[in-house]
Amino acid sequence: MGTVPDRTSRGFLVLLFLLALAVTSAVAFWPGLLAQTPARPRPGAAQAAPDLSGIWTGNRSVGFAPDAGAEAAAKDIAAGIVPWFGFTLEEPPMQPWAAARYKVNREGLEPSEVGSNATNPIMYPYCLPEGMPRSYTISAFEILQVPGQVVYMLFERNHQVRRIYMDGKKHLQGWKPTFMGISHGKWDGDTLVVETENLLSLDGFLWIDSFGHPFTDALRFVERIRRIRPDTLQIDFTFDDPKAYTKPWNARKVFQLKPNWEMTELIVCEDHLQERFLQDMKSGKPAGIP
Amino acid sequence: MRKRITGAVLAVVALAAVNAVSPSILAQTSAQTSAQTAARTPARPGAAQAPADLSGVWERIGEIDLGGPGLGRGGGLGTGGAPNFGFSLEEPSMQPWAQERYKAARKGAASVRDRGLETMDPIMYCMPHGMPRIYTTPFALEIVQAPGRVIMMFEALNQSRRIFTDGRKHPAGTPPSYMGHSTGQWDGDTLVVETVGLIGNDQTWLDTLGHPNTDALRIVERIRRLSHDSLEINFLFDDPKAYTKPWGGRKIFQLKPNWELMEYYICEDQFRDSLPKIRRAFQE
Repeated sequence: MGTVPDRTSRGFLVLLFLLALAVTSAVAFWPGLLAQTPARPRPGAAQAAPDLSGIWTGNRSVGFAPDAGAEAAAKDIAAGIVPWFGFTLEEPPMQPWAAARYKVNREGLEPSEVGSNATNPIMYPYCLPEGMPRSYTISAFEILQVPGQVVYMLFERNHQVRRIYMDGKKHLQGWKPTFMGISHGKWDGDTLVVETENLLSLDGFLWIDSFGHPFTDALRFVERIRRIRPDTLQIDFTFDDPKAYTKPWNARKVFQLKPNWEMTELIVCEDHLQERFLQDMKSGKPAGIP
Repeated sequence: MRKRITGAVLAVVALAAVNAVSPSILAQTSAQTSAQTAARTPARPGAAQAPADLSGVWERIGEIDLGGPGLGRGGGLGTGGAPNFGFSLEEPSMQPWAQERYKAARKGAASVRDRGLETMDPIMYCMPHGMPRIYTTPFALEIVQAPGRVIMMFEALNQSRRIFTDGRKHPAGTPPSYMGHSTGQWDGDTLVVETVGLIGNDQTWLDTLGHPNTDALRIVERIRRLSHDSLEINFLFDDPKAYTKPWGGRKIFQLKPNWELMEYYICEDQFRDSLPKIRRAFQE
């Protein structure tokens, strides 16, 4: 092998150079690509959706004991970080009725504590599912991207399923409001942009987060979901609920990948319900929950 | 709602059609269908590498009783030969204590079209159905397949279940759960699923008829696509603490390509009913 390339090789190198030039120019002058993270330039973004899949958690504390959670939350709040159970440290601008409800939900509580057990809709005897968007502030979740037109989010709490429809069509229009609402998504470069509406709020008594902020059936929110690092998922939220808030407000949450986690089972009120049920069965006078 | 009603009407029409033909023709038809399926499906020497596709939204088919005194909405007989509320027409052979529990749960029930006694029913205490009872609700399910696992999502309680197909074993020492721990492997075009680690022990029913089960219950499901739009699940229940021998059943589901699963919660109404009380607590 000589040091001077022969004619064919030189031709090949020139071709390679031109090709490289073409590719780099395309990358440099394509604004869509520039806006993306530098991590993975993807010339065929539309064909190959970014990979958001994996098990994610926003829980920064070790263990799941409520005290451990409050401790971690206190540390987070002191450092100006939004704790797992909230969306924002800045108080969103509430309508008067919402502020009054929020006050009751936080009565006698430290900022590092979740909202009052007495009015918490997921607590016994109500035992309601967290729904959207509150699930983000209380549950690990798995994003499942399979061939098809739906991105699935599977929450650990109550095994809840959320579907994000990606086919550009409007789904489940005119249906009654639900705990998960209805979500439509589209890719904007490496970001999954999701719009959610038709949320059940049960007269504004359900909570938007675990602090205890209320919301109404008028709530619509937009999420921009992006993998900012291989092990970090960032979601930027805009919440728009003119019935409960005087203006739309924003929040950002960050979730860590847990590649070795296996989702377990966590059913709200499980212990209370089982105890109550067994008590009734043994008493011989079963009556159901009052 | 319109979609579901259409589905129900279709199911009833389908049942009428099925009833019109004799069992032998039925058997022939299904044999023929499987033969055709087998002929259409290319031989899969690397079955483990290329699993069959079970994905889609599936609805159980058969009669659908719309409810009535003692019946319970969603009863009737399924096309797979099992009652909608249960897995088999044949009564499994129960241990004496289980027989007693079952008898209490069947008080007032006239036939397998009727559900178990509501006042004794764990789900009336807002507990989830769990496995395998979730198959005996009138609600649809969705299957999606991802590398290393098959996910089943149920309209009932909007819950999901993972079946690990990556060769892992059931973990030792995990607390029992409503869905249990499921591992699966492909046997040709059939997904064979084993589920253990269930709660049982009077806190769940095995089906909506009211059969009990214990934490010793081991379920084996053989899940297979009979044709493009038809899914069969053969069940085996092995629970020596509650039954004197293993028993089983069969359910047939129909593909609903245009259905979207919705939410169904058991105890949502309870909160609504409590709203006046809650308002008072807020001094509103």
